[in-house]
Amino acid sequence: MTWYLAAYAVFWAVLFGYLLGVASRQQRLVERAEALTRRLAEGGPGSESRP
Amino acid sequence: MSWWPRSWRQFWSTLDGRTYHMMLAARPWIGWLAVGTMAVVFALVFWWVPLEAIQGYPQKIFYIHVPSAWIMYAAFGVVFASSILYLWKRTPLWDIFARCAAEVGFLFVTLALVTGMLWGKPIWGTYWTWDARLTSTLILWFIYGGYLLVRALARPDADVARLAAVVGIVGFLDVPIIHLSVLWWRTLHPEPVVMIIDDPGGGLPASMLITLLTSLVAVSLIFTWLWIQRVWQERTAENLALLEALLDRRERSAR
Repeated sequence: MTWYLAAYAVFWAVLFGYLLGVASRQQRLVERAEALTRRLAEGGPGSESRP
Repeated sequence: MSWWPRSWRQFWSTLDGRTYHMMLAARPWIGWLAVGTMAVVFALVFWWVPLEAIQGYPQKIFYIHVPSAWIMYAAFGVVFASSILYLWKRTPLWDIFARCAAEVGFLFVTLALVTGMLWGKPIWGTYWTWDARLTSTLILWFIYGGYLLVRALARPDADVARLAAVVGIVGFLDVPIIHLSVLWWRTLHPEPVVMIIDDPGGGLPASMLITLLTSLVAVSLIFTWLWIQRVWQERTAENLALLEALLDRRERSAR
């Protein structure tokens, strides 16, 4: 029974570990998108044409 | 029929865009279906399916080991097909499809190897033996591990993508070798027990077959969801990089 439970525990641990990696990539993408939005807002639409 | 492509070129560009958008639309459904099916698998494995008479509890590893191995085949099938399409069409989306399928496929080879080792110890008395099935699977692990390592370290450009596509195609040749190894050579690993042409059920009792097929559906859904998610992330990262470069240029020219 130990081997069977160990196999299922490892299966889920590896899968959740990968899922956490995917979630942290998602978080980094969101932060990059937010930074980009801030930069765009600071520049403003058509900011080059402003005096 | 305005939607009907007028040329092969238009057909391929429509297919690229439509495939991607259909994948994104299906993503939440696939995710929730995966969670639901996996809950059913849990119930079947822990409470419903009977113990196998000879092996007892360790045989229950079968319900995660075999689907992981099947999904590993499917994942590298996606790498193979997408790599061919990338070399033919040179559309970056096919390269992203291949790269992400290799990454998620690598996860499932690892799971097939680890669960196999944990099954091997109580039944064979050893975690590992250099038999044809295990060795050829380990070779696949190294092939795609190397593929992912090179892609992670090299600067992403068309040359690296082209080389990776060739490795993705050649590496797939190991998949039929893995599958047929138990028939070609004398191995400790058992021969296939299901999906045999003459006997698709393989003589498995109905309860075991139902549990196995439900687990296969659940693991397929998990693979598909992870793959779509990674494709979306890679595509989004590329779009963000493009926007960042444009903003950098605009800010430099404004100074």
